[in-house]
Amino acid sequence: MYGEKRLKWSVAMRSKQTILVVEDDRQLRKALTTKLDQIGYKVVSAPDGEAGLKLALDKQPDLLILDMLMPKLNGNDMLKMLRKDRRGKHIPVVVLTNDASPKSAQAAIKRGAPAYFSKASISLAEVVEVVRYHLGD
Amino acid sequence: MKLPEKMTDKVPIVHKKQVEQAQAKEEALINSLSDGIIVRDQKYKITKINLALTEMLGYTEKELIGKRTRDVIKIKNLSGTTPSEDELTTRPSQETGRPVSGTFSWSTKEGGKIIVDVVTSPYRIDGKLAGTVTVARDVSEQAAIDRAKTEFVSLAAHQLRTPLSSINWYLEMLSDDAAGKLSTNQKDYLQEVMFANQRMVALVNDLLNVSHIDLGTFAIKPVPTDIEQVIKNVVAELNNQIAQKSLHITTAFSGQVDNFLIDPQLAHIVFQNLIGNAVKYTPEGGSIDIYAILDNERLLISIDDTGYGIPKSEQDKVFHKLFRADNVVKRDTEGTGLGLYLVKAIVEKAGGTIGFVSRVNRGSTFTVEFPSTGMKKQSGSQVLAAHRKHQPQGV
Repeated sequence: MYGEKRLKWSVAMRSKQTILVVEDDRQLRKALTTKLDQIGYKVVSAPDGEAGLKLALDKQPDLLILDMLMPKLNGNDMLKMLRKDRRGKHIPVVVLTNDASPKSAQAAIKRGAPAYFSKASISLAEVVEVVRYHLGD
Repeated sequence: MKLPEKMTDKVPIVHKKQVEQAQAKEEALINSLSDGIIVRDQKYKITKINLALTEMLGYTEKELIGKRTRDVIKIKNLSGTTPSEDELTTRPSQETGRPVSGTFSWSTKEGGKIIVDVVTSPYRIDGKLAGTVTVARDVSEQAAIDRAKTEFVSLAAHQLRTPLSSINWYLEMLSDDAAGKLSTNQKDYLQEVMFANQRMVALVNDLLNVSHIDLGTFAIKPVPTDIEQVIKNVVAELNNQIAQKSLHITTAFSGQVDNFLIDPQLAHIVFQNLIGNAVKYTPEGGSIDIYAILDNERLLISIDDTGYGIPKSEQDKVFHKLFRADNVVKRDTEGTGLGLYLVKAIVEKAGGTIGFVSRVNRGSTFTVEFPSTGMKKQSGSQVLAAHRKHQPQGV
């Protein structure tokens, strides 16, 4: 417990990096934001692509964790619009989805998403590893 | 068959009548069949069809005789792609001298589509190859029912993934003491729940994979791949179980296996299942030998274990869905029974073959073979899922 508190403090003091989680499933969104908050990141979240796009452009987070299959605006379309805006061009994106379509993966990677994972097959600890890798922690 | 005109004067009338009767009988027989018949010559041109075929497709005899089938009928694979000549049945049947079967979508004259199961066989006259005969059965109704069932399974499995992901992550946080310190017993029980959840995730992935295979929607993307590395990665994933059972694993590779045209994700699934089964069904202290040999003609992969084996009475069901042999179900209740069905479907769709030999309490040897040209490419809208997370691009 002490070890984790110390780690949380050191991460927060070192970076105060912001992560935006865009995920329509309430439980998954809560699990991701809780875990990343515990590790010491500042976390904001959105339940659909429309709200996610607005938040991404306003807050310009250090990392975006993005679901693909969402109501109002799906992940691929949100990413497309994000990249068209100079404020969203360079935000690193990690895609977390259960959509197994290679077209979807290719489209996301083409738009600069450096990583694409299946939610059903990745643990929270592995998500944290990926986040740390892309934030340079 | 008509007698040449110049013969009609010389052939006695009684023989002429017999020939005409035989021809009429042949016509009646061929037209009484409910399946469509296409007879072709060696240049693949249609020489004869039956009534059922004209009714199936809406074309008249005149519109088909003398033409090649695909000059008239638009033929597609079930996935919607256009099959090459080698993927159809006529050329392979003529070249191999054996019956070749397949299932395709044919367009009718009116622009509709039917699903047909075809079997094409070569035929000989006086020992010489004269052409081929195709029997075509309209299975559109059954195909529609099967498709609806498969789509339902696919949808249900897909919907299940989200709550399963949720259960996984909350269990993980609980067991990390994120909601307060747990006792050893509580952690043990949580561990059992997590294992059960992982089994459900594996089952859902397998069901989704099976539905993609049955619908023909999965992609095969061969790229130059190091087979040795793929196999070693799979063995590394199984290290814990291998160590726990003190199994001896040997691998041997021959030929340029580091640069073989194969879909790495599908290869991973194939080896994960075959090597995983060998590890699961080999008792403590046993051994598993894995060989991959590439020569000018083929890649041969062999997985040979000293495990429980498969009873002879059940060997014909090994590649069936949800099959698990009685002698292993009693020992181990895990396993979905879908792995070998998946493996066979992947291997065969990719142009390979799979076989095995097995003896109870002596072990099994599974062999997979691909032509030296590698896996056959197939376009598709879905990727099959292995039992691990995807590897990130660039990481």
